[in-house]
This record gives sequence, C-alpha cells and structure tokens, in this order.
Amino acid sequence: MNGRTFMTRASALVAALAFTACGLGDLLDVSNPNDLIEGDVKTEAAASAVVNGALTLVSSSVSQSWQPYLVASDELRWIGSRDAWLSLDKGFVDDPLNEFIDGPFPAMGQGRWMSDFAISVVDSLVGENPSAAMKANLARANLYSGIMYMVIGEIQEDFAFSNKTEAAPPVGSENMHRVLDDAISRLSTAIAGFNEVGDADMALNAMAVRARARQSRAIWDVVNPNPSGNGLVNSAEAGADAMAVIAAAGGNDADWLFNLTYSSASASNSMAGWINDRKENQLDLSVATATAANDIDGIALKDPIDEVDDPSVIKWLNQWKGGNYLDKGGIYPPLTLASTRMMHIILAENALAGGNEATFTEHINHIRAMDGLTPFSGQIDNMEMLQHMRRVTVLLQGLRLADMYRWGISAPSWESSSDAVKCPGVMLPISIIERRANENIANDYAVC
Amino acid sequence: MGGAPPLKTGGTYPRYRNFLTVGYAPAAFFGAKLAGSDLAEIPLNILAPVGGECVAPTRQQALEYFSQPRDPSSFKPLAIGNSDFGTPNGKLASHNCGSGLLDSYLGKPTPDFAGSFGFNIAFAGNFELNSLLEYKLGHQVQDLSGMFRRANGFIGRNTPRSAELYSIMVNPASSAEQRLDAAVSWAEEIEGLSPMSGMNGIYDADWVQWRELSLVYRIPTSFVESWGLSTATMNLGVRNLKLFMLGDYPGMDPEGNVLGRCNGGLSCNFLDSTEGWGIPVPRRVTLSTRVTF
Repeated sequence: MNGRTFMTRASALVAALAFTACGLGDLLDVSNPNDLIEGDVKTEAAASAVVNGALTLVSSSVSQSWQPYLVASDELRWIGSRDAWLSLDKGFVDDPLNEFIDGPFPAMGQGRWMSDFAISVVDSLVGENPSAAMKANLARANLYSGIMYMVIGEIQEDFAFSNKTEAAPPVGSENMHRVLDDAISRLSTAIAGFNEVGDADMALNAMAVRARARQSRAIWDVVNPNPSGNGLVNSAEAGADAMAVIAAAGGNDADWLFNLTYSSASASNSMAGWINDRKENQLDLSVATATAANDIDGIALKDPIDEVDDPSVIKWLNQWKGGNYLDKGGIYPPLTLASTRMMHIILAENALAGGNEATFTEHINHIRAMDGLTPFSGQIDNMEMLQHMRRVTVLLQGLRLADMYRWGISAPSWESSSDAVKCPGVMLPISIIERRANENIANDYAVC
Repeated sequence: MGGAPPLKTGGTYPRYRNFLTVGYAPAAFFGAKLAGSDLAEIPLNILAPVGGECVAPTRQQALEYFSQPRDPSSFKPLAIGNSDFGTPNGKLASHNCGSGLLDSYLGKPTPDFAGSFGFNIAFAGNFELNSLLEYKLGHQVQDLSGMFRRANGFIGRNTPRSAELYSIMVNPASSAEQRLDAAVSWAEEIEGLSPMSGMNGIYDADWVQWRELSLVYRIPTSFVESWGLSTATMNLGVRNLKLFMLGDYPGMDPEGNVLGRCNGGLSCNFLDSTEGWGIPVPRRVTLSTRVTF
C-alpha cells in the first residue's frame, strides 16, 4: 500500500466513523411511545382506567391486610411454618417488625394513595366534562377510597398519609377515628354521585359500606383508648343506612351482599392464597373442624338454638372455597364488605343497645329466616344471641378482633403477655418499612 | 442513595438481613445483637417493660424467674438498642421494649481479600501435580440453615447443644442456677430468627478452600503410538478437597447462598452470603483419560 492509498483509506474510515457517531447520537435520542408518565393518566380517556386501577389496589390491599388482623382474632389460626403468623395467633398484634404486618402495609399505602389520586384526577376532569360517565367514575373513586379509609380505620392502630416520597406525620392512635370520618365523608360523596347519575346498584353498594363504616366509627369509640361499657354500640346513622339498604335490596328477606372480587385479570386474593393454597393459616377450630392435614372437614360453630352447623358459617365458607366448604378452594374467592345480613345485625345491635328488645329480636329473626332457623324468642340471653349472630354474620369480613375487644372475648391462643391481652383495643401498628422511611415516626416499637 | 431510606433485601422476610444503607458496605448485615454485660448482667428479657423501656433483671430476680422450669420460647434475650442503623443508643431492646432492636451492625458479606493461588509441578518425567486454592478473608456469612436447626421451636432445636440447654431449662429436677446458666447460654449461642433476627446467626467466615488437586500421567509415546493414538493422558483429580475455616462460622458451607442466579433487583444483587435452603458444594473425585489421534 502506497502513501496515497493509505491516506485515502484512512480518510474514508474517519468519515465513516464520524458518520456512525453522528448516527448513534440520533439513534439514542428517541422517545419511547410506550412510556407513560403521571400526566398521561390525567386525561379523559384514562379516567375509567385510573379508577379501575384504584379498585384493584384497594381490593388487593384488603385481601392482604385482613389476614394478620383475623389471625390475631379467633377467626383464623396458624397451621404452617412461618412463626410470625404464630406470633399474631398468640395475640402479639402490636409488632411493627412482624413480617406479616409489614408485608401488607405498602399495599395499604398504595391503595390509599391511588384511590385518592383517582378522586383528584377525575374530580378535575368532571370540571371539564361533567358527563354522567365521568361523574360515575368520580363516584366510584370515592367509593373505593372510602372502602380503603374504612378498612384502615377498622384495623390500624395508626397510619401515615404520606405522598409519594413526602413522608407525612402519623395520624396518632388517639386520632384514628378521623380516618373513619374521612371514609364516611367519601362514601357520602359516592352515594350522592351515584344517585345523581341514576346508578341505583352502585348507590346501594356505597350505602351499605357507609352503614358498616358508621357502625365501625361507633365501635372505635367503644374500644378506644380501652374497651368500655358493655361493648354495645347504637349508631342511628348506621341504622338509617341499614334500613335504606334493606329496602333498596328488596326487603327484609333479601339476602344481598356487596363483594370485592378477584380474578387472574385483576388481582388475586392474598388471604386465600395463604389459606387455601399455601395452607399457612386455617379457619379457627372454633369455627370449622379439620383433618390431620388441616383441611376443613366440618363446621364446629353451631347455631345456639337449633344446635346444627351454623348456616351462616356454611354460607361464608362455601363462598370462601368457591362452592363447597369441603373443597380445597382457590386464590380468587370474593371478600364480602357488606350484606343485608350485616345491615340486620347493625339494626339488631342498635335496638339492643337502646333497650328495644322487640326490634332486636325482629332483626335477628330476619337473618335466621334466611337460613330457615328457628326464630329467636328468648331461648338464650339476648347478648349471647347478638354476639353469636354477629360472629357468624360477619365471618371473614375483617371485623372480628374489634368485636372481641369490645365484648371482652379472648382467643384461647392469646398468651398472657400478648398485646391483645395487655392492651385490649390495640390494632395493627405502622410497620417497620414505613418507620424506616418516615422521619416523622419515632423508631419506637413499644406502643403497647 | 439520594435520600432513600435503608433498603432491605428479601422484602419483609425478616431473616434476610442484608441492607443497603449509607456509610456501610453494600449488603451489610444488620440485626439483633445480644447486650453485653455493660448493659445487662443477665441479658434476659424476663421482666415487664417500664414506660416502653426494657428492664434488665438482677441475678436474684433471674433466679426467682427460673425457680420453675421455663420453655425458652417463653422469654427472649435483651439486645443492644439503637437510635439508627449501627448507632447504639446505650439502652436495651427486645421484642417488646426499647428501640432499634434490629439495627445493630453485624458484619458484611463482601470480603476484604479474595483470590486464588496454586502450583503446577512436573516430576518423574511423565507426571504432573496441579493444585488450586481459593480464599476469602475479612467477611461474614449468615448461617440461616443453622439458625433454623438451633432455634426454631417447630422445625428445629434438634442440635445436641440446643437439646442439652432446652432439657436443662424444662427439667423440674434442675436447679434455678442451672436453668439460669442454660438460659444465658441459650441467649449467647442459640436464640435467633424472628423476632431476634440476626442474633447468633452471622459469623466471621474467613475460609480457604482447597479447590482442586489433580495428578496427571502422560502415557509414554511408545505405548500410545502402538495403540494408534498421538497422545494420551490419565488424570486423577479431586475438587473441593478440603475447606479450611479460619473464622468461627458453624454452618455447612460459607459459599452457599439462598439465591442463585436471578434477574436483577435488590435481592438478586445484594442478598448475599446467607446460607440456607441448600446443600454444600460436594467433594468430587474424577478419573479421566484424554486421548488425541
């Protein structure tokens, strides 16, 4: 190769490299059309998806957070290998380090944030386009947010409403009733919204959840700071909602319910995954009997009058197992948030707390009639009947621990040194993952 | 870390103790550490907390507590409290008192030194001796399988030492002194897993592994050619011949880890030197022949 040829080839190589380099610069400077940023979901086209996303996160959260709450109660028991479940079973409710309190906590934060975000997004869009569809989306967002706030208020001892990376101070145990108040406010907005667009079915759902939330608000007062009185609550507002729900659902005989649903297309039911699939926990032996392999093989909880397997327990367990309570069950059973049975038990308790024995009996018997049971007519003590009917009516619905606290019921598995025994009324704490990330929360493990 | 809080590997699973946090080696171990005698003469949490603070018992109080048989599940040790990660607060912590129970620095999985060395010696004309040794110095490993065997009340406590201490504590014929001594030993050697995650589980794990020793014999050409071959060698080798533990690690294999290869994420990258759910690297003896033609 002579010098001229070399220079020619070298120049061509340099030019090619320069061209390639320029090309690479352009090549890497692209916008991915699949990228989504937060602003993209603040559009009318995305409104329904944002609300559906909130529902999925709220549903997932509820299925995760109810389990530690119920394992601590006498509804579920530990049968597996993970000792943090055992700790809950023994009544150590107030342990921020418990992995099964810690695990669901982020999901609760996500469900709370996303449902509030959905309200914010859709509320803004309604201002631009006040169509019935958009208003229905806003009502749904309020319903789902209301559900999330209600569950937080029912099962948490404390909570922090942080916003993305901005840590918020904790609400404080003594102020957690405000979370239930916020739930009721959101549910009221939802009801008004559904009524405005003429969606009676969704208004019924929201009304039933509000009845539950209002009773839970009254229960909160009874169990905080410590359980007091006879544990009975009498919420006129909850009663009014309950009456309205029963009427709208078809009358006293109507056996209606409102469920959170799960599927492969949305989210799995975490609690069912742990119980039906992994078999880490199981129904308490006071509720259902089990084989040596810890599979349910019968009903332990009997109706106190007819002394038969309690039909309500069978009803809820059939739903839990996807057909028959003797089945293995799957990971997608629905979770019931409210029902006409729950409405009747709210009204029955209101009546008993108010000294109205006839109305108490009437509503107890509406539930019993749904299952063909002998009417109650004083065969056992009224309080005993209420407590039994409440237990079987709200089984697997995330309410048992508060009921145990307010009525002074202890689980046989609770240890004398446990939080549930030492500090009755104590609920699930802000877990360690939030404590480490939130500078507003003292690294203080000893609430109880 | 851009202001991020300490990041824990393994999600909420409390037995994995590797963290990413400012000021410490990547994947440093944090967990519960038994309180020393400067904080508690008897490091056992057997008295009710006062105002949320742990109370260390006197010897007399401890003897009173152990005047009857006690299952080790009924009490927990007293550990060092912390105000932040790796920052002792001078107080005690346990499962129901104090703060910063799981924030004590327990070591790091990445070694200060790691490498290999060996030799290759030809001798007696057709023989060759090869050897390779590997080492890791200046790191700690969590013996999670061992923690289960020693401490878990349901699927463990089946090591001789666990059984020995357990039997003393629950034996009505034991004296209070014997039970107390066994309980302190239990706290110092056995107690672990949740809620005392990390305790008695993370050890100095310096090691030298005699990775390979092989003897090669080159079969003389006169034989090989008569067989119609160009060359032939025979190789007798041993892999993982001997593990020399220089630290106090009691587990099966300090090279084990709960995770193998996986695709990115905090745990794939930093959940390290935590031995569990596996079996040790086996010793392997091979005899092979290599021919060319």
